[in-house]
Amino acid sequence: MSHEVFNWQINRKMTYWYPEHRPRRQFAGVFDINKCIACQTCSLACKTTWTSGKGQELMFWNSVETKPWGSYPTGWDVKALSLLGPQKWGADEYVGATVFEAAPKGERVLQYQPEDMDWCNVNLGEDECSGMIEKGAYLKIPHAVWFFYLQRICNHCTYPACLAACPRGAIYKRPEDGVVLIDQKNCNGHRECMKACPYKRIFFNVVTGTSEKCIACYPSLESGKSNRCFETCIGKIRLQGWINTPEKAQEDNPVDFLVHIRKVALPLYPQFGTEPNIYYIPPKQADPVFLRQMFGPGVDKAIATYKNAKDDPELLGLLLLQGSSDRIIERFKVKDGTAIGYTAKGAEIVRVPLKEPLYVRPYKDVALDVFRHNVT
Amino acid sequence: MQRKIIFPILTVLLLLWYCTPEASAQKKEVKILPEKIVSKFQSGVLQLTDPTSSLWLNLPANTVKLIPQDVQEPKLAQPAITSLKVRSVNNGTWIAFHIEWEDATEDFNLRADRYSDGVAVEFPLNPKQPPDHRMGSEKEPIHLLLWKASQQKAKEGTSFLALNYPNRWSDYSPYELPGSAVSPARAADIKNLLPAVALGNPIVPGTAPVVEEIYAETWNKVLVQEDQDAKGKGTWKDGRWYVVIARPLFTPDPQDAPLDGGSSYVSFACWDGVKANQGPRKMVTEGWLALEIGK
Repeated sequence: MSHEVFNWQINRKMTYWYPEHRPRRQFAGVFDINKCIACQTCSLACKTTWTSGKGQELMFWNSVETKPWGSYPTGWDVKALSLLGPQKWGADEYVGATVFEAAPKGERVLQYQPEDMDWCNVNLGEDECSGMIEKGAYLKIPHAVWFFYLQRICNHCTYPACLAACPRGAIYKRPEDGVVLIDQKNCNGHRECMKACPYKRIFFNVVTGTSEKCIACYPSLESGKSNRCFETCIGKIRLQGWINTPEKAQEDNPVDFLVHIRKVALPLYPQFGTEPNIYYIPPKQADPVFLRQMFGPGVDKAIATYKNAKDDPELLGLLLLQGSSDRIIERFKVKDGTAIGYTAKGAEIVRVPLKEPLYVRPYKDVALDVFRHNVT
Repeated sequence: MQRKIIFPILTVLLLLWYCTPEASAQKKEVKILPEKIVSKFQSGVLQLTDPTSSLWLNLPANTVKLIPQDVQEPKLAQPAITSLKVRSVNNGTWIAFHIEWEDATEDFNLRADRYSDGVAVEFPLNPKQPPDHRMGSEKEPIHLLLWKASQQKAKEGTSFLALNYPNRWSDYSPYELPGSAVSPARAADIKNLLPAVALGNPIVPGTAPVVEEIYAETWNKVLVQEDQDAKGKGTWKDGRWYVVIARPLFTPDPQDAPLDGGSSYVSFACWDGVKANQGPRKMVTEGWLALEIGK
């Protein structure tokens, strides 16, 4: 039942269980890892909104883990990467196997099933850095010893491994927005989706006997509002929108601009082959070798472009628009030192200055005849 | 004139399509095994509550061989339960199958990494032309009676939440304040926190019948029937499962396989939870066995 489909993230055709059938538009998000402080507001916003029911005690559809040591479920990335074996990038494309191409005989996807205990430590490895800090260490970029936070929700992949693996056909990708959902009426609790998702974003509910997952807050999405985890992010690291394929990229579409035009935002483990639709601006302080494994060969260029944002008004403006509204910014423009976000129809949602207005008070308060010293 | 041209063209196109790999994948192999299950007539009430009763164990049994399901991904890579002992009786109104097999572990728990033991009896909806015995084929449905240890335990009152996480701590539910009655409005809220329950998913533990009646028309079209008439009971004892599955011989339900003709076909499937058997990862008979219903 293999079909040949095109995956632009690995720049080649690959095999998938179903034929290529892209939605009319695709939900996408960009997370700026550099800005995240792991306050977990996103995790709790999601938790209180969607997973406060019985049987959902161990579920965090949104989680933030510390890299390199943290993971939820425990060891998901190490196990998935080990299973896949060496992952090689050629000059223009990924030349290794995807999780679909590497599937053993009789399977639809290369997979492993996490153990129950793996779901019990949502914040394992929090704030643990990559190694010991040697005597005499000093600050440089990238840091000699580093860590960063990885924010994770369902990637609402273009080629979802969960959907491919479901023997009941109970998982579907909505044609109107590309959101991947488990039909809770027809899920039979086989947990093939849990095994198949290489990002391990499917959870099992022991009370209902069904698998559950992030629903991209589709009721908000349908009304043009941001998802809970995007809206509540106090670090304003998240930008929500719609992504086009590279050949149809629009320069005034915020997600297209960051992913396709400036190429500062990259998919997580594109080599899995699922074409995930959450993109990350990689952290500039971490080990580039580690980052290349996570985000592919575009990492170095992405970081260089990101570092240059101060001299790139459009990029800077868009980064400042991130998290500035609870509405989905579908178009943007930077003009006269101001970044402006619009709806798809061109109605203005928000505007932010590229530079915060600065007012310098005189050194001396003439009226009171005192100097404004800060003597504390 | 046009019809005379179009018809041969369509016939040729159809023949060409029939030779494609897609078409050959849909051509299911229908295998009829030489064994026959004879359902002995026995007047009176059938023993459905104690599968270990000598009333069952003294009856002659057929040994039915099982092989791994190997036509549809995900396939079963390693064999699990390799044979079943099958007995059957009917009283002219109900037909019951007694299925016994060796299984060192009693698996009924449900959690991320635990799977349930189970067994299924299957019949073709059209006994004159039985389809592929594993899950039927398009417009050639089969009727399954599925018994799962997990559903039986849940029906008997086991909470998988309490079983797996006995020392869990959780804040009180805002909808269920200790010591106070839950209002109907709050009860609806509680239900909505469990989407599968709110939507009436028939597999929810505790609500699903011990023996589920399923109508299947291929692997992707598997429907839990609206009318659930089947009964059953399983007992695990000394490393063996003893399970009775029963259904009425005559039903008006169009999704039930007709058994009123005195003969049909039957096949079996079995799941071993400890080996992560579930869904299509199951052991199955190699084909249909003839079923003769004694009168």
